[in-house]
Amino acid sequence: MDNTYSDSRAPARLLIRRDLPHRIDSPSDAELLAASVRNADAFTELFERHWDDLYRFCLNRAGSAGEDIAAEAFRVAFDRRKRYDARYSDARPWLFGIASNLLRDHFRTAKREANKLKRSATLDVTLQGRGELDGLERQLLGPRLAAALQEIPTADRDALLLLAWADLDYEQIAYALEIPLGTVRSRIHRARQRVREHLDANPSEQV
Amino acid sequence: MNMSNQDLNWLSNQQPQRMGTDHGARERALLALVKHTTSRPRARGFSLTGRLRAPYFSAVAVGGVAAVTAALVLSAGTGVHSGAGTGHLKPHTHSPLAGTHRSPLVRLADYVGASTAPTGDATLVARTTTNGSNTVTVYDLYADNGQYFFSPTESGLAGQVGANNNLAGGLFAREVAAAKLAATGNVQTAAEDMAIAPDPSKTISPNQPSNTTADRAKEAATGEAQTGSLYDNWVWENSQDALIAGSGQPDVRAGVLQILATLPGVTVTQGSSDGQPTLVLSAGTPELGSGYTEQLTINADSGVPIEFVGGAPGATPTAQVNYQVSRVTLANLPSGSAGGSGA
Repeated sequence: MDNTYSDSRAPARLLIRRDLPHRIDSPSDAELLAASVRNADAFTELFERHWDDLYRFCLNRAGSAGEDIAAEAFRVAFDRRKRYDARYSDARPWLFGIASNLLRDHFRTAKREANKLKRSATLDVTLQGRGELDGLERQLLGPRLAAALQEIPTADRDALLLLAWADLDYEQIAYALEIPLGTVRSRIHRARQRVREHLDANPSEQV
Repeated sequence: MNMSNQDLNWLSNQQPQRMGTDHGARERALLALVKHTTSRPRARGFSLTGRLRAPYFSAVAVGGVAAVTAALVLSAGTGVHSGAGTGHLKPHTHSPLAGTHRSPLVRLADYVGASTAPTGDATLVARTTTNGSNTVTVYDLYADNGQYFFSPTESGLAGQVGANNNLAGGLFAREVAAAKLAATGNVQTAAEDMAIAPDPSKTISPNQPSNTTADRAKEAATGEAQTGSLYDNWVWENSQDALIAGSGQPDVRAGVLQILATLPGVTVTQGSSDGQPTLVLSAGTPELGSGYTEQLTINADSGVPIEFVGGAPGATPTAQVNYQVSRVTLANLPSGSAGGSGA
């Protein structure tokens, strides 16, 4: 008869904080977002908390464009703050999810531009894409990473890099990408298999 | 196949590490963010009441759900109310009651203020938030002595009370106090108290020219004077918090209604929801600016909140919260299984 938290996203239960039975001094991200609905200043506190992490992630993924993408992620987050699910005290998965979408759009746009160049016969070899990893992203990742991630589909790669670079756990990645937990597990499993195969084939690259 | 985390370690070490020494990036992004935020109208969105606290509570209750033994003395209905939130939001147009909105609100305030004290020593608010296709009900328990308890399940409240997991911390205390002051007749002072209740260090008054950076930016962007809007916005938003937190106390409800009656943009329409008469209070441009509106539905006989909706005028609400209010006695809450236990 009680259908609280009956939504199908299993990670919701796992992300609710269980370790704070009493009020603590600093507000949670969820509190800041709730407060920011009527006081935008509260959102700047959220920015201060998470800018470095988001900036670093976007910069690693998109190079110099990462700064604009990270900044845009916070602007988008501000516009969506009223829809934030307050059960999630940590806003990092939400922010990284927004950034991941923007990164995907960024690379998609770059790919379209590259295709235009191809059509106009002004082919730039650095923008040629093969497999799932398009040219610009491959260029930004560098040759070693690009080789390892080359055959990994975009969706799998997004999940893997959120795990390896953003330090999100599986449940948080599920929330960030708005996909079921099982899908996250399978995507990351596939992606890791590819990376391991690459490392097995190239033992000199191993740490 | 090597099943260690060597692959992840390798990936982590392969990060391009483009994090340079460009400290200006943070400042540039923050400036862009501030410009963006100050160009938008202030809005309430989801109910602040309770949602501010919810993440602090650990329990995702499991096990049986026992109904709280409650003396229902306030709510005129017991079901989930369907009101303005099920349709499109009305734009900022003057209703037939516009211009005379003070009368129905003040009349109701007088009626509510004269009602007898309720039984019990706490108010239980079952709060149902609809966000897209998701609907979540959580439970807020406001004790008359100022304590506040939260549980994602009704049965978990007893455990929270037993563990003394009081989360009040002063939140909404000043809002409730301002409402009680208004109920004594000092409405204008109470409204000014309500405006700054979340942060009494701020100073603002109805006649104070707006001079914040945000308002200056907004004036520059829209060409519209912002004088007074910030005050009206704060009073509108904080009054709603007070009304929810004090929904079980007639003097609080009466005071909030008195305060809302002072706002220039609030219009009132009569309606019904699940067979009970309602008043729908719509905030206007002075309270929320253009492009966004909010409506608060209350019981027309008791002033008890029923529903909050917010969104673009004429559009489907982007925020909808339903309230079911009842009075309870803390000592008589049935034992539940939550009490801080995890899922």
